[in-house]
Amino acid sequence: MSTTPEITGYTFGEQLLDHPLAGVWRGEAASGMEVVALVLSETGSADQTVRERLAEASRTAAIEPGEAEVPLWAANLSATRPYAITQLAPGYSGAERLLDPLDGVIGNDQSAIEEVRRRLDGDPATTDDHAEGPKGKAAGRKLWAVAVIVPLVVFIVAYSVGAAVNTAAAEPEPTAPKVPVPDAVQPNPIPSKKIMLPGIPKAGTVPLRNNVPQVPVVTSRDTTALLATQWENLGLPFAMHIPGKTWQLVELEESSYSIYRQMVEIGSTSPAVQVGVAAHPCTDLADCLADRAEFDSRWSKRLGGTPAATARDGQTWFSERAGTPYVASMTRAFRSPATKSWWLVGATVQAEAPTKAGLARAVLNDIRTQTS
Amino acid sequence: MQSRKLVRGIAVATGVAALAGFGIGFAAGQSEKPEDLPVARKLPTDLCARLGDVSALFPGPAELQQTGTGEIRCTAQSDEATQPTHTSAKLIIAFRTYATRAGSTAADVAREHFDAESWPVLPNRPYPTKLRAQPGGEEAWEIGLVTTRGDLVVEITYTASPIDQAAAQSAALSVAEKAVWEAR
Repeated sequence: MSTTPEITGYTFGEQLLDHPLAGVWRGEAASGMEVVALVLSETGSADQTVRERLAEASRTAAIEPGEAEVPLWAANLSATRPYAITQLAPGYSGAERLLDPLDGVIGNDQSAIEEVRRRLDGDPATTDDHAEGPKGKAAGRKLWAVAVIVPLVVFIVAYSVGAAVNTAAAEPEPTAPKVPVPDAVQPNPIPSKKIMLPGIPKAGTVPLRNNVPQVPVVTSRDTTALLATQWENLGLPFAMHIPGKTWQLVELEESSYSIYRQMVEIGSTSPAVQVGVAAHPCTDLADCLADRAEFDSRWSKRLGGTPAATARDGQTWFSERAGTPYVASMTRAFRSPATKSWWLVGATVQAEAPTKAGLARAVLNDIRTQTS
Repeated sequence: MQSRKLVRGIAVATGVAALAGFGIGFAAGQSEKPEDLPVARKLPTDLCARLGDVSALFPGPAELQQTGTGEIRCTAQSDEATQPTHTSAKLIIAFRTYATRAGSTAADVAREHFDAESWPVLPNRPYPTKLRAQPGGEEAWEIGLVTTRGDLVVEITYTASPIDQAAAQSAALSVAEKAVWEAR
């Protein structure tokens, strides 16, 4: 930028044109009036042709002002840096009159002239408040709209491009499974013959037998009196007494060979007395006796306990082991009046504490009595 | 100058918008159209009936009841309470088909579900098969079986008492093969 010219009575601010031959400045007169000044540069001042052109342009502006034209305000063509000043009035072509011949002054530099015009006219950033016309405000709004719309449009386009690139870069979907699919084979038909084993017929509800004498299998001072509760719905071919309502029956299962039951005391993690019962149907006493060995081996395996070894009578065998724990077992062949059929019954009792051995013996003796 | 600053601001914002747009667009990828979303193969609505008579697996007559649409279940049961003897059986056949997933065919997805089952593999079967036999007593068995072919996984649970393990397993296997055939 050239040095701001110093002309008495005027102060200059913004330089509108910085041309090698001349500069155009915006400024104020001492009265506050806005002015535009054209000041020749050192090169311009030294060039006689340029000086003459300025003198000619100034003369025309001073002598032949047209309508709606602001006259030339001041000029000094003989100064070291000759200048011409005109008023800058909105809507009036004062500056233009200075600028129109300016191209002649600075040698047909059209782009420089246009730049000055643009900055005088439209650029709201360079005009003062009172000089800012509706045109400038509209241009400002347009720029702000561009500031919003352009990044938005660019974002949307870039988003689509990114998404498309992602899709293009994605691995192609596999067409064949990692493990080959075997051919479907014509299946064998689902069997039509029953595959389950025949179940043991249900015994139904079997009543307690109160009219039979007590027949102890193991010697005990304790009697059924210890057993307060009657239990009839065991799914077994006989009913029995249990010590109290805190006992419960566990239906282990019914195989085709035998029914298995377990009696435990509710809420006790290490039950004081455990009772296991098995019942195997047989056609008659001879059949029961023939099945006894296999039955003993099966129920002792399923329920735990020692098979009964000592014969009490022709239909009853027992084992007893005193001590801690107390363990006793019994196998008995009997004909159930409820089912009207023969059964082999296996029972095992175990008492963890010696004080409970009496209870265990009473349960075993009760089963013997009920299978009389 | 203010207008220059604004123009420069627009240029910077445009650049940022371009980068962010590309980045977010790449991360999100193109949205799937509903009609392009993978769907699992639909199984026949009369699938359970097609399996035929399964009464042999039960103490008495039994009929498979079909439930479900996404996963079809065929269930038949003989409750012990309804039987004159101590016998009970229950059969559940569950069919599931799987849809493709990004990077996997439907068969791969089905295979993953099959592989997730920890039961032992039963070799020399027409389809990959896993079987577990759990004893419930002297002659009580629960047979768990899972098999897969293509996009299909069939899971069978057969619980019966009294029954031999071999008979229960063989029945479950023949039901499984029939099930795969009917749902192929």
